[in-house]
Amino acid sequence: MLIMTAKNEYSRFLPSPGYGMGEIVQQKNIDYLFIGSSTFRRGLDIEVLNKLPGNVYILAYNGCQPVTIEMVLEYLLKQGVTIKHLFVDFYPYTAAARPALSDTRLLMDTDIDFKIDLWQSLHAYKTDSFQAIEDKASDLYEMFISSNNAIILWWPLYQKLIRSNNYHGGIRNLRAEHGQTQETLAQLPMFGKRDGLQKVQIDAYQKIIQTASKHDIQLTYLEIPKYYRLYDDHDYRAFSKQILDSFSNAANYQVISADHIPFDNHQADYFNDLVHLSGVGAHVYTQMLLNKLGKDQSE
Amino acid sequence: MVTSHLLTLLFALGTVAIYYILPVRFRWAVLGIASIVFYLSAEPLLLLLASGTAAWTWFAGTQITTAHPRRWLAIGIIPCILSLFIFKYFNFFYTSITDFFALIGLPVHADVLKLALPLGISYYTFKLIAYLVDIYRNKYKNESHLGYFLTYALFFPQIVCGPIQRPDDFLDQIHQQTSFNSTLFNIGIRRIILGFFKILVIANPILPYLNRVDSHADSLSGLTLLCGSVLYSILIYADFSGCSDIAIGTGNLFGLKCPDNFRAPYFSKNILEFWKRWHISLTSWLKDYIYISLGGNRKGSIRTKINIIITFLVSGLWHGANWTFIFWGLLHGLWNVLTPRHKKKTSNSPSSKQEDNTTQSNPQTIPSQYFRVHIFKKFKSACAILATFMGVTIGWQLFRSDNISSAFHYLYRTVTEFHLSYAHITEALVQFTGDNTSLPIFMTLALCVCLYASFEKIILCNPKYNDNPIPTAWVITFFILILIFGNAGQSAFLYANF
Repeated sequence: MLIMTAKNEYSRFLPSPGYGMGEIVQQKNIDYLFIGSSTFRRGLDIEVLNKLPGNVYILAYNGCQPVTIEMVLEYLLKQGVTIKHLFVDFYPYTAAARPALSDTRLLMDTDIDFKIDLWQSLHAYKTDSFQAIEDKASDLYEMFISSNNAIILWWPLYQKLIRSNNYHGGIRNLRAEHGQTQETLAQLPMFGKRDGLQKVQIDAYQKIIQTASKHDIQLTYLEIPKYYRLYDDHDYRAFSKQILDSFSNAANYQVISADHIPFDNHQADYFNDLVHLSGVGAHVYTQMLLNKLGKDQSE
Repeated sequence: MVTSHLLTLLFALGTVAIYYILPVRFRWAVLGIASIVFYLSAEPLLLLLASGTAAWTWFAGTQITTAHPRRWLAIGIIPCILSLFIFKYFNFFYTSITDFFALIGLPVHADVLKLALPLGISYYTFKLIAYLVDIYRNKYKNESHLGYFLTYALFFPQIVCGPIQRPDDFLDQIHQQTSFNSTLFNIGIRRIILGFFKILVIANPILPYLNRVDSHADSLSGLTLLCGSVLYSILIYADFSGCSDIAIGTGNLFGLKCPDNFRAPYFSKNILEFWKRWHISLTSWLKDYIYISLGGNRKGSIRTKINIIITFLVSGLWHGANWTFIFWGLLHGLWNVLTPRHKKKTSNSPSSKQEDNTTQSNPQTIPSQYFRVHIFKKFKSACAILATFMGVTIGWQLFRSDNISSAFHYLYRTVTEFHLSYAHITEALVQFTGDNTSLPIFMTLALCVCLYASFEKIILCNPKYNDNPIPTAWVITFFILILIFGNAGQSAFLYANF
């Protein structure tokens, strides 16, 4: 019990492996923070983003949903971090999924109170069915007992190895990685029908706008381009429109969707799969994004 | 599925408590009712089929000893085989025949049966057939108590993944129920912990890797595909033997001894040895009721070889209604037939005497001889173990694939796309999670697999430990590793499908 409590409370103080929240909390002042899912980690070239004036950091957790992003933002602000420009991942499919934790590394970066809040929020919408109780117990065990033990066991080695490849939350030498062929991308299955957007996720988007406004943060919802086949999906387009419509009452935010950047999303070499850019794609896209941001600022 | 394992364990512990509270004469009823409740919770309607078939078998068993044994054997066995055929194999054979007609230009409209596969049908059918054949062969008397017999057929710890316990072995224990056996209870608890260790710490963490590899097999390198195959071999063993351990351990909690199903099979030096150590209860069933029924080795060497191949074809078909399983059976049958069978050396033979002298020679006096005999022998045996493991791994590819061509395509790509570079090693490693957290997961898994392999080598391969509880130090280690690294996510539970 002692070991588990110590793990849940103090793992965040382990030396940074070059990604995650630890470095942000240490630095306190971040000029450009990108919070999102693996599409941010794979789709933004940190070496290009570093040309932005000031501190830049990519905080990416696999499958990170709006609900989790909102909690992470609140946590960082509570830790005394100040952010000037915040870029939040705009990936409509994450808003069509029920709250879930898909990357347990988030638990390594946070304190025990955050974990309890997260565990409660993941199950807040569920009924008291037997299945729900079973899920709750299973998540409790995974989040507080079994998560990240392997990483902690091998930490000295892991931290050194990963740090050599990670930098400010991004991946070093990303531009060297090529993408797939058209044939491979054509064979990949689409994601299938969704049940519709989740209210709790839409609310989280709204809360992010409110929090950003309250703390004077310039907020941008950023959509990393997906392979063109994904845009043929009716659900994807419909969800995207519904989310943007739900923003219409709010102010103080900006959206940079895939349409705003002249990125060729038919180029197979730019993609690893339907949603993740390849290193080459990330390099090209990030340069275009930088041009766009520069242009916006000069205007 | 892990919660299913835990729920089954909780159910078993509840049953154990009631079992020991009640007087000895009612204990069989506790097991019988618990087995019915267990089956009802999974498939209420199909309980009628399972219990009906078992009751019919029991009735046929009572008639075999009275008159027309051969006729009653057939009357008893046919419904068992028929129900297994309808529920498990009808669609496969039907679609295979219609596909064949379509191939020769005679398309036939095919409407397959939409039937759920009854829980444990392959296991309980084999138990029932064994019962009838053994009575027919006068191995023992028929069971007069229907309740005892139904308890045997539907015994809940064994219904999902065996072992296929022989009727005399089980029923004798039910008849001779005694008071609480603390030694067996202790063995059972330890066995259950070992089972959970194999499932939660070894099998479950591999599953995400295989899911990734299977969904992107066409774009991955040969090294990753090879890792996928090796990990599948580890997974299928850890998962199935883990389930067996839980079943055997649960049986032990009720004071019942159950047969071992695995004996360190991946340490086998050839395929003959492998089949003496893998799924022992099925192999011995096939030997007794198929191979020996076909004539065994009594009808000449060619007929023996044919009998072996037929037995392995049945084994393949038992595992699933697909050509991949039949082909897998054929592959193992041929491999078995082609493997030379060494005759046992007599202790007086000159060659064995010479070998004994050489092996006992002092390493300091004759170092080169010592090296040649001992080190080379160890190296040879390691190579034999590795070769057998790789052969079995190639065979498992047929288990994994939907059809024979995709299995061969996978194997073909494993060889033709094999490259060894930093990028390829990285690709092979990251498949656990798709990112850098794969590395510690891989290293932890490797550590646990090595630890378990040492346990097998030190404990399971040592006759000293036969029928003894697993040593406490090992049990504590496994228990701690379950608590720390137990993966409560997805579970494979592959053998439940068979």
